[in-house]
Amino acid sequence: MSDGARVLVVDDERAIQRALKATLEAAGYQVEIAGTCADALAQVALKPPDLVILDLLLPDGSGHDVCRDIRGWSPVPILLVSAVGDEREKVKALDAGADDYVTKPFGIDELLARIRAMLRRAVDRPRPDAVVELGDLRVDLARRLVARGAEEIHLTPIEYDLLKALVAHPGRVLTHRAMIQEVWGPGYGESHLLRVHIAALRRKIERNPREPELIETVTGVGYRLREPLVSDAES
Amino acid sequence: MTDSRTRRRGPRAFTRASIATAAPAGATVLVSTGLIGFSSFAVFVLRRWSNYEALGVVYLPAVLAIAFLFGKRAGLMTAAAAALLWDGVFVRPAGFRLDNSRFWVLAVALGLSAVTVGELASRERRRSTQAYEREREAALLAGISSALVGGASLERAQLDAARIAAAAIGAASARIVLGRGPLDGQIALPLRVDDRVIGRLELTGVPPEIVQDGDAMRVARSLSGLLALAQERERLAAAHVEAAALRESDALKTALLRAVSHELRTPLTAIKTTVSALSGSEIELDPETTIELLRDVALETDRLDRLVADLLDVSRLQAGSTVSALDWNEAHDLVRNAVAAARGRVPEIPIEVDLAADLTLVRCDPAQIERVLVNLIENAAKFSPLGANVTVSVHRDPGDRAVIEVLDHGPGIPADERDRVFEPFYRGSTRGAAGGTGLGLAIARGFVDANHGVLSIDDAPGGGACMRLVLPAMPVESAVAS
Repeated sequence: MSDGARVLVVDDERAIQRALKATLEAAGYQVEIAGTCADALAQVALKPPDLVILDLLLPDGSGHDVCRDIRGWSPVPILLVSAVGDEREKVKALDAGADDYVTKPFGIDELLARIRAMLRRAVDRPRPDAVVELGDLRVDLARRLVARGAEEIHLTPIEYDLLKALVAHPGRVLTHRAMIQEVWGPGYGESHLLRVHIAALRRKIERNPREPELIETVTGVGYRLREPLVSDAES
Repeated sequence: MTDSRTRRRGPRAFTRASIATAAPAGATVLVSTGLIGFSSFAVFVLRRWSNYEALGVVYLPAVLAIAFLFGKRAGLMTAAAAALLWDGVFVRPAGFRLDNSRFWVLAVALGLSAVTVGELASRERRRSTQAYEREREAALLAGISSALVGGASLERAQLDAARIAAAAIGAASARIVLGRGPLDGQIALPLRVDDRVIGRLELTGVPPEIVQDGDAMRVARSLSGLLALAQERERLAAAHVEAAALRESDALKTALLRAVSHELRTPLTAIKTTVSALSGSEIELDPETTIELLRDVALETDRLDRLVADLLDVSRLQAGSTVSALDWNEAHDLVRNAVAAARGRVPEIPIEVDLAADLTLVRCDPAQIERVLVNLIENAAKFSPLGANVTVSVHRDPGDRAVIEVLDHGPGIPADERDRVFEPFYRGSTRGAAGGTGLGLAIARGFVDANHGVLSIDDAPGGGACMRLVLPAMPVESAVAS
């Protein structure tokens, strides 16, 4: 499915450009290189790629601006490359429209896995009325029903909205701000409320709430709904 | 005259004395007339029993009282009036005659008494006024100097000193401005030290009569000297702190250099050797060996990466440039993620987790605290004998704080080393062949401090060390109620 997909690598380091080009091409992708913000924007506009790998530090500006700019007119998935410990930078970029990130220095296996997942998600977003299956957990988005096997799970409206937000972006990190905005509306909600309700949600939907498998905490950034995830439209 | 300086200061300094004696002229005349009238009535009554010539003395108390109350001039005038009255009315034959020697004797006697008493009284008054002024000034100086030279910062001391100065002068409020800046108050008095203006005292709500008063100027003078002292003290203290910081960072830099030269070189050498073997044309390696060597390279680069991150963190912590994004986080999340990361680093040591029953929200920077926990677990694993496990537990203490403990079954940390293990590059005496840079615990302590937490060491039950991290937690009721 991802064979032959076009990947734009935005990074100014020669060694990294070369290493990524060689490995991604070996994995079957077509690779384009951009070394600056201006170059990246021009390439996304002229030769739209299927995915952008974006470094935060570029010679003529920051990756945040590139993200925001691209998001103004293109839904192309953006994978961010950021340094260790830069949680705030990651949050900023995710809020600016990036879809996921890898932390520098990254292994190539991890990078390839992320690229595959992002490309799959780009074509495979769950429809708003779909029934989503998370292991043996079923989320019926049309009827607002959550069930494990035959047993229905009762969620409060806030818990359901949180789960819905996560299900709408499977495998993707949702920042705390994004989740608060989606559930409580802009300017409302506080981070401690989010923790309390996520903990309550985990108690209801996780098999073992002490070792959550579905909702992963991404330290300092947000939450992620773990894949694999199978969704099929119900007609 | 040599004493001209004091003399010139005289009238200004004694303003209070002159106010005391400068009773309205009308009152002086009224009281004098009353007293002389009363004395005359006494003479009129007493002359039946006594020689009227001796009765001139009856006027003496009136003259002395006037001289004492209103000064020698009023006393003299009262004396003259009394002598005239006595001579003109009571001395026979009636009618005033200038060549009458009795008149002159009485006039001179009363006059001299008036001058003597008036002078004595005014001297006494002057002395008490001076004493009062001195006492006030001493109290003011003491107040201002304790404000300026006390432990508080210069800024705080300035506020206190201004408040005291405002009270002393009688202004509604005062502000001390050091250096230049836009004028804000009603009037401003320059603060001078050796003809150099170091700032000004701005006053608002000053009653008009006080503007003329020397008091305000004197307060400004006292302030100037003390402010200059306080400024100097602040400058010296800052220089001292800076010097200490420089000394400390110098020692750290030396240690950093030593670490860089050794700890960075080791993995670099390993990588270089392996890579050159792999890319060299002379040696033929079988595919299995190649993969094994490449894995080693990956491991060594991870080690380098961690070392660089550690060095960066230590230098940031030492420079005080670490920023903590404090927010509410779930303690269980932090521990779970830290344990998962630590398991990847020390796969040979089993890590047990013991979580509290209820949700515990702690206020911290989650990435930093996770880092702290990973370092503590890694450190515990380093000292654990083979096969022994490390336990991480979370509970809540009665004071609504979260307590996270990392226990090992190693040799423990001797009490006298418990402070030093948190110093960068310190390697404990019980450390055997265990490697590491000696940065893990220093970074942990630095991040915990930045997160307003407490990190301490205790003995674990049954031997080993117990690293205890205490963080502020949200009370259960408020977390659930909202």
